[in-house]
Amino acid sequence: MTEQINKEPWEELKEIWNNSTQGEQINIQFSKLIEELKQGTSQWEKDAIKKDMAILKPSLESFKSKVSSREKELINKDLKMFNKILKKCMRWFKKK
Amino acid sequence: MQKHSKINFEQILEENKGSIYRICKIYAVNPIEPQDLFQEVVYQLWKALPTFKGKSKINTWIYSIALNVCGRANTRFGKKNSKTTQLEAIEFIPKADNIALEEELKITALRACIALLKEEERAIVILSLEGLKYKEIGEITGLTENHVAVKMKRIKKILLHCITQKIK
Repeated sequence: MTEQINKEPWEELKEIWNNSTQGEQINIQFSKLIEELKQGTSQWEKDAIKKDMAILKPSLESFKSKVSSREKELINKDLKMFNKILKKCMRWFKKK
Repeated sequence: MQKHSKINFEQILEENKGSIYRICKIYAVNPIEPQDLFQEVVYQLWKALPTFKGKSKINTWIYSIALNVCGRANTRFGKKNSKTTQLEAIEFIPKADNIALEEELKITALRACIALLKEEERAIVILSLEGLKYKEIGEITGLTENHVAVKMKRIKKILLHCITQKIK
């Protein structure tokens, strides 16, 4: 092998590489495969989504509890003001 | 997913399954089996096929996906309870005419030596062994053609030295 490597080293490595899956045959039933692929979301993706949800849920809860009543009041006030302006605009458009 | 052409997918998979499996064999580290990686690559190819714009050759595109999936295999699937996609339609059958022991030794040595390389070098050498030109390797790895050539010179030396040591 050492001598062979000295003669045509890279070409021999390529040959070894190309023969490296010789011992196994890959049989694919394509119609079945397409069906499986159409159905599937990979298990990894499912696990990743579950994991993300597990992290997000408690964060969301803690975020909710961190919003102070003053902030809530301010948001309500802004919303009321916005509604008032919107109503005024609507009336103005109707008159026109 | 609607844009999938069954014939095209079959054709590209049939033509490239050997290459994909060779790549999977390099990256599969216990507890991940090359067969599992192969199935995951097939699934990712299926998902990505509608986004293939035809700007690069189809095999270049396949190599980049296979290297990406396999390269991240350890982080993704190396943990407990994380599973790869299981596709029953794909069967791996050992051939009756087994490879000669000497040949098997060479293959094992080559795989072991490639596995010792750094991630980027590993990808470059795999693509080169697959017969891609330096320009095509550059397109996949994001390196210039010249940079690939320089790296390959160094990698060849390392690889040949390693494999000679292992086999002698």
